[in-house]
Amino acid sequence: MMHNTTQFLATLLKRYRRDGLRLMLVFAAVVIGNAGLVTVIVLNDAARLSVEQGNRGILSGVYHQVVAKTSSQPLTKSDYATLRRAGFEQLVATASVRTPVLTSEGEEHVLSIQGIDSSAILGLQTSQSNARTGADVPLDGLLQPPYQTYIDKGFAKHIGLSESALLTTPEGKGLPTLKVINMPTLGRTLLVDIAPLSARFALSELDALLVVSDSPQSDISQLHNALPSHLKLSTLIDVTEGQGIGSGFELNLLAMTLLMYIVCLFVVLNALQLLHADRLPVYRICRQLGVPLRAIVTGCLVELVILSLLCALAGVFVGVYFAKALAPSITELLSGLYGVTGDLNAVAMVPLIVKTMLITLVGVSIASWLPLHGINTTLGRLDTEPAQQGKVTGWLTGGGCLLAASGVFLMLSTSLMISLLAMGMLILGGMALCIGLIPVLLGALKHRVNASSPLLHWGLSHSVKISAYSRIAFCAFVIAVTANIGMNLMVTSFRTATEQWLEHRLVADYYVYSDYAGQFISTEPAGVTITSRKRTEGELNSAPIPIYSYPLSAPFKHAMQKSAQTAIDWQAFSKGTGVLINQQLAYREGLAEGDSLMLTVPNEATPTSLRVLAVYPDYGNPASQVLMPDAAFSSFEFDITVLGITTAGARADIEQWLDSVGQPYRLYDRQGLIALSLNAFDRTFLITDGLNIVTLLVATFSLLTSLLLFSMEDQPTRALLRSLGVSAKQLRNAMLLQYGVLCAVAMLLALPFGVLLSFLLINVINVQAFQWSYPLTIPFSTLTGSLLVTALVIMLALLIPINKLSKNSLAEELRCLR
Amino acid sequence: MSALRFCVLTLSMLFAVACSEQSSTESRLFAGLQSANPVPGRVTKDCQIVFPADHGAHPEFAIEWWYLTANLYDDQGQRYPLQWTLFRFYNGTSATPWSDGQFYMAHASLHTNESKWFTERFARGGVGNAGVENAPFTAYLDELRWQSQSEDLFPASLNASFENASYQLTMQRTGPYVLHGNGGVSSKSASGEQASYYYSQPFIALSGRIDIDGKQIDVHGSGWFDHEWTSQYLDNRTLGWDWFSLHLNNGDKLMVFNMRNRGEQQFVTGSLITPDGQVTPLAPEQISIIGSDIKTIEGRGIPQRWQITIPDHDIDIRVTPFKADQWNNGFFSYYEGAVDVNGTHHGEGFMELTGY
Repeated sequence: MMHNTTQFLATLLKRYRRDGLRLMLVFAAVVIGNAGLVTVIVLNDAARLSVEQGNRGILSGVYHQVVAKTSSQPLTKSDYATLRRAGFEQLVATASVRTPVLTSEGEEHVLSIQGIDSSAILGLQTSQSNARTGADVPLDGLLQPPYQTYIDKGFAKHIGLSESALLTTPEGKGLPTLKVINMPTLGRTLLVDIAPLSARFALSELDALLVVSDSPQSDISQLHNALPSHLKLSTLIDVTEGQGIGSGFELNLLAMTLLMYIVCLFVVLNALQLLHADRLPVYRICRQLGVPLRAIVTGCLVELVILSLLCALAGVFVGVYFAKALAPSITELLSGLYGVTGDLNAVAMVPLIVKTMLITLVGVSIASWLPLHGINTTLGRLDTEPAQQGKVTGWLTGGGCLLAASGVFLMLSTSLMISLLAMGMLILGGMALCIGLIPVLLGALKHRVNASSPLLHWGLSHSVKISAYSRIAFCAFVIAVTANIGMNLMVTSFRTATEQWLEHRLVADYYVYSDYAGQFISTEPAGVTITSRKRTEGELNSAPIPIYSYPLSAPFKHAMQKSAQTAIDWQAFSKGTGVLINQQLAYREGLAEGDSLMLTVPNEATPTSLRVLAVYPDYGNPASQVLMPDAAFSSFEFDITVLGITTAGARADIEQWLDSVGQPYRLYDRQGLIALSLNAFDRTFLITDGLNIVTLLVATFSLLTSLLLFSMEDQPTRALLRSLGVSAKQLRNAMLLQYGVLCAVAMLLALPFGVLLSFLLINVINVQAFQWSYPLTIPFSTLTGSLLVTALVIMLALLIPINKLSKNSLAEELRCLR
Repeated sequence: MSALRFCVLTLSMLFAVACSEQSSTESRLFAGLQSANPVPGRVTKDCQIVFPADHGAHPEFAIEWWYLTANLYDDQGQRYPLQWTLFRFYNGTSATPWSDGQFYMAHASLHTNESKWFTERFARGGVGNAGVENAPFTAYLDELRWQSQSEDLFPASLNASFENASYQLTMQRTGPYVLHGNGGVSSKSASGEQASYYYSQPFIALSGRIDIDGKQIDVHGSGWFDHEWTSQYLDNRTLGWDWFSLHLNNGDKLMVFNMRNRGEQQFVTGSLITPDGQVTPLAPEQISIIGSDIKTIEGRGIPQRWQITIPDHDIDIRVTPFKADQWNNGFFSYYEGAVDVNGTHHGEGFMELTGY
């Protein structure tokens, strides 16, 4: 057996020169598939790690924090000392400032500087409980003089600061010398010990007391019970399965990874089918020479495993190269969006190679099952032509079953994973239907073509044969086109909804963001109207919920009506008997317009029943939210961080006024803010767009190769046609028509599944993942754009080889008939 | 005294930069923002220790500690040795809202035959969770607290807690305070260049409750307290030290220590205290301390058997640990453990071994 297998492998090796193109196709499919996968894995891991680190904060093992309930009675050093004296040694005090700083070269940056009680961290690091992990902060520059200011190396590079840089505030307060460290959790924040920070800035309040514990489930009830009335425990975002943009980005990348993987599976499958079809005579001869079937199948499998692993290795390096090439823009993106600085260059190669090889082996095993099974069955048969009708029925039945199962799953699904599974079934079912329908549609088209156009008739008739030959390649192509249309429509709909939402909701001429926003109020010059966005916290179903103010002036009312797309009872809103809630809250609590919710507002012991007057979209916000009128806040304690400014004055006048207050701020005009938001949006989805296109290109490449191989094998047909008097030009046009019609039919069949995919992504997956959705918009340009670009790529790519084939002289064409 | 050596290392690691190099960088950077740092106090022979004032902190000195060890027993005779220590370091910075220029570290431990608990805490002075107050005397870091009823150290309560264990004790003194060395000025080297102010209270009766895994145990026993402060460090030739505080069965108390220096003879000294508190300083030539029976604990070879001989006072005793593993594993690790005494005298006490 061993000897036979070795002999068989030796025979295959001798054929490698002849197998050239087909082998290259297998190599290329595995390399490209792996490269794509690795790129996505590296980006995904780095992005997830960065976002996790950003969410987690500076210390690991922190899942909760103690904060002040209201700004009127802040968290102080005294609270910290009291709690620590009571035995809560797991608390670490933090305070922060956001301030403009100047480099020694005079360059200005507005930076957040966090102060932390490093002595408390030292105690945690040396605690006997090793499970406590507040241990990832290097303390050498924090504990003792000369103090240092830590900056993450990614952020330092991003803003051009280097080791030992001297930073001073505009007032001349110098920060401890800069120390560049590898600590992505710092994100865009500088870290310094709380003692030197408090010495330089008059910090009378603390931001929070971080609670370091073994796990998110650690019992913190004792701490909860010991807190004074003005303090509360809050949960950090990573405990609540972070549902922000970061998760959306990750989900998007994950979906693209799976799609890429499926497409590559089909590409490999296609390549193997073609390879084995070409080798079939060799297999037959081997069988006739007495080589057992088992040895042939084992030999093919061994060859495939060796080649796959080699190609996977190559794919890893290509993928890492691409990921690193993308690293600067990804880092920029992560830094800009989430305030984190991921290090995409820190790739652990060995685990990545192992992971990729395992994935490749699994994938190739699946993909090779069909071709190897094919060898097993076809070797015993002389007739290698497939039973076309039976195949078509099989594809249609299989596709129908998958679609029906997908529908049932989606209807019954209550979990995201089941819905994702259903989406996978939908894509595969759609693909199967398309593959089954392509020959049916081409056959119908052929019957409608006048027999007086024999070449056209032949072309369409021949297309059916091509579609059967390249069926697997068409599978990959249809999946890629479906995904491409689905994702494009989803992103376009999201962007359209976001843009409309921003246009509706941003009413003021300018917006001011500042931690000291309250200080700008009442100092405004004549002709300026300020609208403040007040924030407080209430309680709904025993959980905290942010409550924001909403103005009752006409432009704001109009904006909300347009945004919520409903007529709002503003009288009930102004009386405080009704509230506006965001989609996230509506989905989570099962609320709709007209329902009531029991909200406990600040200073009230018992909840009040309030009517839901409207549900408004609130894209990208992970949290639930309630809006109440400005007047209601007269009895609440609240914070203000955003001001809307309505004025006919110039921007320079506004800046002059804001500067005169002497506090840091960021000023945006309305259009600037919209542009900034959309720019962030576009950058977010740039990566997934890119991956989407790569997936499509991989599938297209597979299809093209398959078609070209068919053309090469179909030389006798072309020779016959040429001998019958068909000119080279006519033949070229007929071939282009064949492939064009084939691809067009495949794309048109994929179209409705793409639209359906998009609809479900928006209304099922997005809702289950993030608790909000947006209307599906199907712009003609997006649809046609996707299809035309795909068609154009295929036709352009086909044009060159077909043109070359058609330029063969008649004698050359006829040579194959000898 | 032992704590002095221990803290010298501590200090050198933590605040050497602060005190010796006080950072020219810092000065350059923040000129005008910080006031000049006070010069740490010096130990002089003509200075008298005065009670109760000197029970409190001496912030002008670089380092200081309040160090209590005790051997407690429950009604069944089960032994529970414990340690409670507060260290203070002058950290060379001017006062800010989050630092009064002092840094505190607390160590507490509790042992049974089978288990041990140890906790190590750090805090800055001026924050409110660590410090030493005079009236009434209070020494605390987080919930580790020595709370006296007056300016004297005793009577007082003593608290510490660990994961799944804690102790709440009351302490009474049954004898006078004892000044070591020359009127409380204790030499730490043969040359006398290194010295500290050092007094002890070896007559302490403790009682109270220990809580282990929710089980409450009434305990009582005797303790030993040291208070020491200095600014004169040992130099880098110091390899470590072996320190003993022993309650002998004739009512005497014995404190001896052995400094191990690179390339030099050991420096051995101590005090013999009678039951009524009379102190006899012990000169180096009067004492012999020899360690043997080395066992590996936490990866270090630690002598487990000590022969202490003071022929002038007819003392020839063997000191052996209550149990082998009494290693304090923290940011600064050392052996601090209860011991038994046999030989010409019987008794119990504590030993501290560093530099192994």
